[in-house]
Amino acid sequence: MKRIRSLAAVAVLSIVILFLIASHAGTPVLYNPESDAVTPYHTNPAALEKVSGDNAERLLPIMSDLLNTPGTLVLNLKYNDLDLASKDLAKYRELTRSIDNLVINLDMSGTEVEQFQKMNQKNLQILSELFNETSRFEELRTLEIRYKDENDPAILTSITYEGQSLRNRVRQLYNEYQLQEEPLVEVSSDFELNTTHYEESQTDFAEIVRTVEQVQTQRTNELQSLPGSASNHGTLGISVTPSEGIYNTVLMISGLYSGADTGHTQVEIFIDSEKEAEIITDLNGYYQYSYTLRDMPEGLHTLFAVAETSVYSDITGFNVKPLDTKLTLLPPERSGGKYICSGSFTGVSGEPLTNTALQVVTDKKIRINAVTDGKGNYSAPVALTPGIHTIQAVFQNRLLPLSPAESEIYTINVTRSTELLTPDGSSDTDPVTLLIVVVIIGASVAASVFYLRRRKGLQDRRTTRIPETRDTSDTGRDSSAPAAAGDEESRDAPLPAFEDQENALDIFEHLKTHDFMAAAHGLFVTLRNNISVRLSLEHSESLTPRELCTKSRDFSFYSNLKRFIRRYEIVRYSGTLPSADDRDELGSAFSATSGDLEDEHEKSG
Amino acid sequence: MMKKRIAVLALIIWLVLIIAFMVLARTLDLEIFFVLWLIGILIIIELVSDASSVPGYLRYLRYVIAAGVIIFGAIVALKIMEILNR
Amino acid sequence: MKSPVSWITGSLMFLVIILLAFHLSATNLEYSRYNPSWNGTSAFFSYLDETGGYTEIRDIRDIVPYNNSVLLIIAPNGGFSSDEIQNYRRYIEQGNTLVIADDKGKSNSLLEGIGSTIRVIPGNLTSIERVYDDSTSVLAFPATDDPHFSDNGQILLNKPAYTAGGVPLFTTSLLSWIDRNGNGRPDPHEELGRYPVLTTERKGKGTLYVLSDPAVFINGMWQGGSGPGNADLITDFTGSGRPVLVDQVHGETGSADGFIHLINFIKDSILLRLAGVLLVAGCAGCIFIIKRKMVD
Repeated sequence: MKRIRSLAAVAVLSIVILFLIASHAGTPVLYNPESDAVTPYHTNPAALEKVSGDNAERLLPIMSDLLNTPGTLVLNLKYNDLDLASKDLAKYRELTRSIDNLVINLDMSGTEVEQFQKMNQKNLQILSELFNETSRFEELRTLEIRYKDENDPAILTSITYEGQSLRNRVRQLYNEYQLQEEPLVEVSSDFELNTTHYEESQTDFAEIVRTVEQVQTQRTNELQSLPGSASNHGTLGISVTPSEGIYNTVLMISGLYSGADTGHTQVEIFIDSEKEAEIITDLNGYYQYSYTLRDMPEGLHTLFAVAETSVYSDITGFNVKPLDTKLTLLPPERSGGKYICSGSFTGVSGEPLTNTALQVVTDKKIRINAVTDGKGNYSAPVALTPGIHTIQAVFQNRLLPLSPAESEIYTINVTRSTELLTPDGSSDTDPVTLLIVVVIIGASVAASVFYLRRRKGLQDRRTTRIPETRDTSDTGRDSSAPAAAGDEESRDAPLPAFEDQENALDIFEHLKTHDFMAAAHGLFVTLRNNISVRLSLEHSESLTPRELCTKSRDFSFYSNLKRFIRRYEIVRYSGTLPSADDRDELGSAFSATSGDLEDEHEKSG
Repeated sequence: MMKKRIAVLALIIWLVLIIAFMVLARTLDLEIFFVLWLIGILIIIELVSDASSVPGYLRYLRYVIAAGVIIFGAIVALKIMEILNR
Repeated sequence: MKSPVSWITGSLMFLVIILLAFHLSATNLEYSRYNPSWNGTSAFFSYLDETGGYTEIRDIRDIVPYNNSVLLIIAPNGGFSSDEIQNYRRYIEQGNTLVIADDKGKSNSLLEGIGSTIRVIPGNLTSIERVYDDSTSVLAFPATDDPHFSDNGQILLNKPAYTAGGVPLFTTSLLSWIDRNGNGRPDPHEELGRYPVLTTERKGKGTLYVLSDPAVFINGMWQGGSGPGNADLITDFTGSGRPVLVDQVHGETGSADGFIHLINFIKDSILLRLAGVLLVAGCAGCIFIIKRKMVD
């Protein structure tokens, strides 16, 4: 009763505990520093990770370096030390890259730091262009000296015209550089940065412009006073309408050639000193060329023409103005594990901008290129990891006369579960994961089955359950299991003890010719039962012959029992068929022991 | 009967030790606790049931352990899914 | 009693009783000195114990007799009465040092009352310069010639506010901002700049320090979770050999609940303590006598 009650208590307790555990099975981590890390007052440092690297410490020194480098760069350009200038430029580029990374890593977009970074990017572009123009200008100077000696007016004209376009460009760059100064100094002073070097670079830049203009003016003057001028072979006129345009404006370039061979003369048109086209004049010497404004930055551009007879036109130019643009992005659509980002890129008044490269930016970091089609539409697939992401389309290209544009920003929450549960198997890992899961579960089921079977084998060979009554003793038995030597219980279980001693001997006599082993065992069991009753031994069924012997040491029947047991062990364990003597001896030892037992009983009774 | 008591005592000490270390590490994780319990009980069973006999009180424990092995497999599978989906 | 099962049960019961005692004598209240977990201040108080002791102030009148001591009010919970403010004022003007660590602005009435220009302005002060990868982790740098503090290392704060007025001793770096929308990053309207976090002011013969973050005293910041200068800063306040007083009336360090209240109450009243001793002695005597009788 007591046992049942305590078992019930344990069962109830176990169920309660299992229930408690089951309620936590979904989130098995009961507690860790992260679970109560945030209070309204503070955050537990133990739950946080230390900042990797020293990004924040590097930021201000890099900003300071960025302000100083243009100073030396422009100074070196001013003194025409192009080697040193190119080193400065490389350093400047390196620093700009560092700050770009820092702004992303420190998530500083939209702040003054980003303004600073953007202005520096622009400065870098201006200065690297200035570097190129100045190098070319220097080159022209050497060429000029050489051809002046050779007195080749055609080439000198060409040089002068190119110089003219360089001058325009440098002047344009200076204007842009100047525009940068005020806001950059303002931002820098907020960060307590020293802007002296940067401000010096402005004056040095102005000086470079002055020098270039001086040289160019002198060159033009010299060209005009050159003896043998171009008019010897004829004249070439040039004009452009309109003289100002925006992206996609068609300019009409035309002129009249009059000279030695007016009709069918080849005329080359140069825009920004680069050959744009070759045209043949008509019979009257008239030529016309339509040019669509596309791949050129905003600003002044030079234009001149050269006839095949080395007759130069005057130098003229046109102005390209930036076109305001509009960039739209449709809500990204999920498709096959990726998000399709599409939209359109147009001018403000809706004219499509075709074949233009733009970028789709996720989390302000990763950029994916897209190109607009013939209708100004674009589309780009974006792969996103689980988590919250922002997506935006961005256009910026200083080499095109298009103002920068940004689309609206979409925030997308990619959940892990959708990744896992996509039925179309769009997630790459899905089938592999499933396979692995199936394999593991299968393996664990197999392991547990194996464990059960192995244990079962052990269990059957060594039943140690102590039977309460004789009848239950054969429940755990498996007849197919091989009986090991020394396994008393598994064998004697089905054998009944003989009811009383007289009977026992009779049956023994009867049995000993058929199955002596069983007969001997019957005698042993009879003795064991009797002795157990007499000595009130517990668990008599599990007593081995020797144990029985030890328990009976203090009694009078001990010597006879010992005799019986010795024979019995020989009969039972020797494995050979006992001799006739042994059989008789066993019987007599049994009778003697039984007799002793009777006596003992009468004595005590 | 001594064996039985030693086994129970060993299991209790083992579990208390696990809990103590979890508290020290400030991380109470049922999964880890379960796996360490399984390891503990497997070792104890192997030690208690020597070559010749399995005590009767361990008779039904094997079913518990078999279930434990399956749950262990499930935990491993879940962990792998977690890592792959990261 | 001899059975091993009883032994096991007995020892488990013993363990449970010890755990229960631990549980009851601890609390999870913010800043509480009885809170041994990361957001309590038990480590700070045992540090004070090891380095010259401290006095817990449970009645503001007790601070008046001192004239060269340090009084810490950590995480004040407001509710300063005008009498108390007068006492604080007298205390500081007598030449004592008052240290207020507050990030909720609840000490502003006190600051105003004692005639200070310093105010604590609660706000989500955030900085790029941090130790932990979290917007609540903010590093502050010495910004003073005061030899006391100028040689300190950087101090790490945890969700600090900032101060206005007074002489700044520590400020955050330039790359700091008040994160009004709580997105953890500087937005265009959230201006970057230095914000003072520790300021000082002379008052009469005494000095007032206002630190805009009491979290430097919590266990989580104490046990290896702090910046290089945190320990220095705390010794600057408490390690001068002067008596250290801790305001447990207005400071959250004194907050306790339930059982601890009872213990404190018993500790504080001599009569009850006597009664407790008598009770224990009486129980022991009874048990002794009963046992005696049973033996006879």
